[in-house]
Amino acid sequence: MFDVHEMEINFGPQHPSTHGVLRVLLSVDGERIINAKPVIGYLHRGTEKLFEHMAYPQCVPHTDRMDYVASATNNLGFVEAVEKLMGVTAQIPKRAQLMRVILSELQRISSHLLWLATHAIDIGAMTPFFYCFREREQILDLFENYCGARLTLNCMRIGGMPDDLPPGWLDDLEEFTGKFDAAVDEYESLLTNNRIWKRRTVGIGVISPEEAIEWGVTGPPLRGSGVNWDLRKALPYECYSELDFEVPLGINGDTYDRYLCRMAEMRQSNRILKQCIPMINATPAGDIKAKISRVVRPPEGEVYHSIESPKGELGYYIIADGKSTNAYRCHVRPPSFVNLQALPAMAKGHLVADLVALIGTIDIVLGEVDR
Amino acid sequence: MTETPQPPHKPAAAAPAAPVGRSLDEIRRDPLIAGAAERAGDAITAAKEFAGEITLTVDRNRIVDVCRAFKDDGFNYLVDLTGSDYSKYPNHSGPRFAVAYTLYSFRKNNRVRLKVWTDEAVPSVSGVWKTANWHERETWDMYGIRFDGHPNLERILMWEGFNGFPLRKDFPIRGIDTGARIYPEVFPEGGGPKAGSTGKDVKDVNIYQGEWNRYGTWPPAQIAGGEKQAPNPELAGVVAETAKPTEEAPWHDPEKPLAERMDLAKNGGLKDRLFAAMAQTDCTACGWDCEGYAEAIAKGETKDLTLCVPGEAETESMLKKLMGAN
Repeated sequence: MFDVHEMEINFGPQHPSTHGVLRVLLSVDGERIINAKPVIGYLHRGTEKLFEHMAYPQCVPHTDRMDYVASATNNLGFVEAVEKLMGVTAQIPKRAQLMRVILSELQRISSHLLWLATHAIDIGAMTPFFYCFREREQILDLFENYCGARLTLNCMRIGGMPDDLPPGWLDDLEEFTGKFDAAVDEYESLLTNNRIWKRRTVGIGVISPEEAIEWGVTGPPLRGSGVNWDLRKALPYECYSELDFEVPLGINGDTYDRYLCRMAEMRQSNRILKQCIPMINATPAGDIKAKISRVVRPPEGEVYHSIESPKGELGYYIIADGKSTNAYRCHVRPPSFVNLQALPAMAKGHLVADLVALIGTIDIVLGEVDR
Repeated sequence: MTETPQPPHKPAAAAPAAPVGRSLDEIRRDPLIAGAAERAGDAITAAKEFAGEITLTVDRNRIVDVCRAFKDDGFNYLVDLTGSDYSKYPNHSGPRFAVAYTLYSFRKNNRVRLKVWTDEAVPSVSGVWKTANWHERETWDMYGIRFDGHPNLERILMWEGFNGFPLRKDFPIRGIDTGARIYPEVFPEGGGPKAGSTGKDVKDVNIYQGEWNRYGTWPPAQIAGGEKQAPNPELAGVVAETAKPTEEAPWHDPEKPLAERMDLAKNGGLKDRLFAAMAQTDCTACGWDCEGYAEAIAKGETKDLTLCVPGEAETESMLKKLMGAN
């Protein structure tokens, strides 16, 4: 009889592959994971508490700091939730809506590029990192030209946008969208049929569609399991219902399918961007703000509003007491937090080395997990 | 793949604007929730509509059954579960906390929110949806609402042994000192409050009595003579029994607005005017009662004018004005 030697080891919180400060308590039998328990909270900054103590417009920069690699979508979710609370969603001008769509789709691409770069480097493929950051740099330049910031954009306001697009910005965007499809081809030529890549990802971390829904998983991990659900299609916000795009789906629900989903999503985002350029040219310049009161004091009530962030369903639940200019309560439903919860179910029975691939494939940002 | 939910590919047609103020019975017959509401029966005690969202108030003890009824009726995705503290909500009466469950149905492509009211514990729904596990842990961590039947109700964002529930309305925004030794070079062995203590007792706090000017204002005041106690930010906003107007100090009433208090004290000396500017709660968060703090400022024992937490910005600016005018 052989004795089973179980061992408990800490994975993180300073492990480079945990993308921040995630700690996973592993019970292992040799290299095989028996149980994995994520320990979080190292980056908790009390964002929800802060929201209660500042006026609604002041909260927008704080949303940047949650998912700091996709700040535009965080801004979008918050300002839309407040607009819904105030009942002014229908008054947002078309140009502002299109600008929001353009910024969020650029943000989706840049977030996915960062995911791909780090995911590949975790698994051992060095080259995609340089390719991805080449394009990501161009997107960050576009952000910088629009709002002055590259990472924490603070680029949306309740009721519209802070500023119109600078002259020539759309030309730069057009140049980028023209080249981007070829760039995705390039990434795929490095990975999609790469034998090592497939050995590391196919069949790793399979999650069935029923399990995924049970765990509340959203975004590419849910679609990788074949569930056809994207908030941009299901409950469209801004002007997504007028745009033509598809929702890429996986079949097997493993790491490889989630990879394929995100690659296809980048192409679809580029397709949306291409459609937006002629549409935004048809709108009057400068029409970027709804005529709403400068003091944001919503009526008494509570709303939940969510958008499709690059990582999944990002929701804001706001309670207003009708008297104050601060939210009485503002809860954030972060996609990374909920998706991370499925990690133990995905990791069970795999090797420790696969855990690195799994953390990468869930695409977590600890700033958002811990808030 | 079996039984994948099929969401509509086209956006859902805009629902006709629901008339404001539908009654509970009308909302119960809404096609979105009719099936589940029938099974839930009288466990649904109230309903509200706002911005096109339905909120149902549910009997706390039957929340698990109601959730199961909704899950069987197609609401198989628990989007969000969170708490809120209504203790400072205007004109609120009844239990202090609410727990809100946001459910989504793939088939109906819409959401519904369930809400239960509680003072301390709620039955756990982690047996209905696995995803509720972390949400409930977070709600416990932030509000101290217990979830009965939860498999491992541990803290999740704060650390085990943390003393307090940060999102409660009476938790101070600037936080509490937990004794974590962030600056070991100025926080000597034994400095700061003891981690894991209740914080209620003065003896729980080890106060370092050396030089305190390098990193902010903790402890907030230098040790002054007389009535000085250990400053305890947790007490901020507590209204003590002594907070009643007296003949010498008619302004000593937390109900009165600042302007009225200052008016009452306008003929008094500097100490009286400083006293009137305080929040009048005698909460001792600053280390004195309101009169003691005013005296300490007037005598020059402390120069820190920012210690009155419940008085917020208006007290601070008034103190600065008085000391500047002096």
